Parts: sequence; C-alpha cells; structure tokens
Amino acid sequence: MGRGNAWRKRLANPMWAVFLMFALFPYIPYIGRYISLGTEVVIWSLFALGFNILLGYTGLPSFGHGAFFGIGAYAAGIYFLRVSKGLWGPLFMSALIAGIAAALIGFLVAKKRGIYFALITIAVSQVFYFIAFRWDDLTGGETGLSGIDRMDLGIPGLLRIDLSPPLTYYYFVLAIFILCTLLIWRIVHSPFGRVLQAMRENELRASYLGYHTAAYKWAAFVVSGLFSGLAGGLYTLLINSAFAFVLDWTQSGNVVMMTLLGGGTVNFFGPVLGAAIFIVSRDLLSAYWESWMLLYGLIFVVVILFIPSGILGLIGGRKQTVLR
Amino acid sequence: MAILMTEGLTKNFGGLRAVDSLTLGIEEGKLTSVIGPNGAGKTTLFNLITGMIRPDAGRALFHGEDITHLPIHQIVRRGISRSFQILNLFNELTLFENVWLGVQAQQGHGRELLSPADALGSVEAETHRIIKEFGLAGKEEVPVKLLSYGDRRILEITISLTAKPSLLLLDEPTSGLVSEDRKRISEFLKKLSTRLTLLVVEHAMDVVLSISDHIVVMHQGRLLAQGTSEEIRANPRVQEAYLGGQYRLA
Repeated sequence: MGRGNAWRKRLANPMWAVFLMFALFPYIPYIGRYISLGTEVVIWSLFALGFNILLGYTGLPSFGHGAFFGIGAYAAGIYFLRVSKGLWGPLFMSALIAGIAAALIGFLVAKKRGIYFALITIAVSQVFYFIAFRWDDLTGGETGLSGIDRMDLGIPGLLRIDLSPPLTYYYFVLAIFILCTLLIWRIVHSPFGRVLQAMRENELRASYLGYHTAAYKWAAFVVSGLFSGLAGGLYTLLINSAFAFVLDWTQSGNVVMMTLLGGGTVNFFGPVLGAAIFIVSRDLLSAYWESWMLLYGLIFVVVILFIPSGILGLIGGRKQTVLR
Repeated sequence: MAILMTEGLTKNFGGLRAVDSLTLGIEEGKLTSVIGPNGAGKTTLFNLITGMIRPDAGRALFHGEDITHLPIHQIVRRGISRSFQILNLFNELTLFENVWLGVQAQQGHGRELLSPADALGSVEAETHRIIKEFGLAGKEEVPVKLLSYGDRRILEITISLTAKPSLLLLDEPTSGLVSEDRKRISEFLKKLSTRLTLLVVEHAMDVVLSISDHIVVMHQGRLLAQGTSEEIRANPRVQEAYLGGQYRLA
C-alpha cells in the first residue's frame, strides 16, 4: 500500500467530520446559540469516550463511572480554591487524582467480571458520593464549591486569551476534546487496545495466550479513569462550581445510556452521538415537559429493543471496533 | 527425562475426589495420551497443570520448577500451552486476528499503548507464516464463527502453538469430528510430536493407539496403569476396570 493511500484512508476517517461538526456548532442556526449546551455535549462526549474504553472495548460494565467524573470535578475545584488559581493546574489535577483513584479501585476490580465488576463499581461510586456530601471542610458538603473561575489561557507576556466568554471556553474544551479523542483512538487501535478487545471476546483464552489479563484490565481502568476525570475538571470550569450532584449515581447511569444508545459497543463514535442526543434532548425536551426523562427513557428502551447495538449499529454490518 | 512431574496432585469438588494423589512423569519429546472413562479426572488434571484451578494437595513441577501456584499466563510463558475440549476461540474475530493475538502475546507487544497495531510487521509476518504452515491459508478474513468445525479444531491447536510451548496439552483434539477430519488431526499431531512434547486427552481409541508413544490410564481420579500401546492393550486391569466390554481394542 502506497503512502498516499494510507493518507487517503486517514482522511476518510469519520473523526474529521465529527471534529468539523463540533467546530461549526456555534454557527448552526437556532441551537448554535446555546453555547454552554454545546460545551456540555463535548465534555460528556469525552467522558463517554473514556468510559467506552471499558464498556465497548474491554467489555467491562463499569456502572459507577460517574465516580471518576466527580472526583475530577472536585479535584479541579479543590486545587483551584486551596492550592493555586490557574487553568492547567486544576485540569491536570482532575485527570491525575481520578487516575490515582482508578488505580486504587482497579486493584479491587481487576480480577472481577460481569455483574460482580458492575456491583463493585456502583458501590465504590456511592462511597465517593457520601464522602463528597459529608466531608464539609474539603468538599463544601451540601453547598458544594463555588467561585472556580476560568483563568486566562496563554503564555505570560506573549499571548492571553480570556476564557470567561462561553464561546472561547467552548473552543478551548473542543481543542482538548480533539487531542484526547486522537489519543483514545490511538490507544484502542494499539497492540494494547487489541488485547482489551481480545479479553472482551474471551478472557480465558486471552490468558492462555500468555496475557496477564488482570493487569490489562487494571490498565484499561486507569486510562479510562484519567479521561473521565479530565472531563469532570472541564465541567467544573464550565459551571464554575462543583456539587455532590456530579457524583450522583444517575450520572453513572447517564454515561452508560449515552454509550449504548449511540452504539459504543460497535463504533468508536457511538458515545459521542449518544452524548449529543442525551444532552440536547434533555435541554430541548425539559423546556417543554418536566418529565422529559420519561420520553427519553422510552426512546432508549425502543432503540435497545430494536437495535441492541445502538444507533450506529445501523450503519456498517461488521463491528468497527473489532480489531483492524 | 521428565519435562513435567506431578506429585500427589489432588483436587476435590465437594465430596468428589476428581484427581486423587496423582503422581506422574511426562517424558520430554514424547506423545503421551491420557485415557479413561468420563469423570476420570483428565480435564481436571489439565486445569490443575495449567493454573486454571488450584490443587488441594500435591504439586506440579515443570523442568523441575514448582509451577503449582503460578497464574495461567506465567505458566504459558514458561512453555506450557493448551487447547480446550470445548472450542475456546475469539469467535467474533477473524481467523487472522485469532492467530495475530497469539503471536503478539508471544512477541510481547501488548504493553504498547500509542503505536498502531497494524504497524507490527513482525507479528503480521509470523501470523501469515503460521496460518500457511497449518493449512489455513485463504481463510484469513473469515470470522471464526463461520469456519467449518474441522478448521476450528485446527485453529484451536494452532493458536495454542503461537506461545511457542515446549509442552502442549490437548484436550480431546478430535472431539466431534468425522473420521476424515480425525485422520487429518492425527496426521497433524504426529507431525507435531516431532517438535515438542504432547500430552493428549483423547476418547477416540483408533487415534490414541496410532499416535501415542506412551499411554496413561486414569480411573476415578487415580492412575490405573501406564505403558506403551501394546502394554495397555494387554493389561488385564485396564481391560477389566476401564474397557470392560464397552470398548474393544483393535
């Protein structure tokens, strides 16, 4: 295969269409005006892509993944308020602390599978919820943390970009999203990523090929936790605060629903589509009807009943996430 | 010289003693068959040797090293690989991908997170070589679930070999095959036995008697007898306890 051919293949990747769509979002008539809605879609897309490393690629149902989003959200807020007011510091800490938490919890779950894996992750996320709710001194308890401003982006003395306008922050989040998406894409298509998919198909056989499956599961858990935490940090800066709500179990449920609805088990971009549908329908439907969740839930049930692999399962017959 | 030794290996399942203080030596470079009626403990023995389950007593030595409490992947890396009685493959993946994963494990690239998997030329070349060697060429892109049963049986053995084992455990490699395919596997095993030590659990007596250098007979978790094909055939205890009219040795 020639070099030109490889480039053509790379450019044909739907990734660029996704990035372009997000880049043009603020200029789409009508919904483009809701900039922070777009920011939220991008943040949840990042969270869901990170989550899908576990669910879609490794086949591990982490049903308490909101914990890492929440830990990232609080880590950013606490670092900003207690340690140092900055932009990169809080964001770096959100990924780092969530990654450390994932590394510790990973030891508990790395040898588990299926329902046991799911139950432990749920239980752990509940623990973090109560910590956030009760540890007033650190987390602000019920009132949460507020006053977490978005500091300027730039190189001192050379360049300064004010991130406080929603539109600028949208593009900042989008830039991080693009970098992370490229990174996640590389990870799931790496030799490591293929081992994850092998474990999803048949964990016992993977270990009989010589793979240390528990170590791979642990590593997948940590990588997934890092991205989820970073998404949480971006969310804190979006709403300028952190509340225990980010650790609520429904958050963990939402990311599962997004990923499945969009088709995360068969397509890399399933989680992005799912996140967009979820956040947009939440905002549009809730404006007209308080019980919008009922409608959304119905849509979810219908989709899962008739297209078990999710919306993107409709295109492409063969699983896109399966190797090659 | 024994490549594998078991010393008093014992495993209980509830009240059932599946493997009962089994002491056994597997000769290097030979093809040893394990036979015995259903429930004799043959598969349990394989599971014990390869670290899938832990024994209640006794130990297993590989090249003199105690491997009893090692996890599966470490035993594989030391050179013991196995195939399964019930096919155990990556069914949704293609034949190529199945072999590829085994080769990658052997070459040790699994820790690479950021390089593209498609760029691993040495893994790809070795995968193609193995597929050709085992007569599966032309079917690379077929999802395993769509392969013929005979091909899947061959693939089951093929991917067990990607780890480059010095001892291969085969659990009923001809199970469920028609006689033509059984012959194909028998030939295949004979050829294989010139390269490495094989330990084979098999029910098909024609296969066992034609390929084995050494036969071990198990009965109710215990070692009943062992010897060459001729010795086993002539052994009155084997005739009585195991074969007892149900099987006739040709």
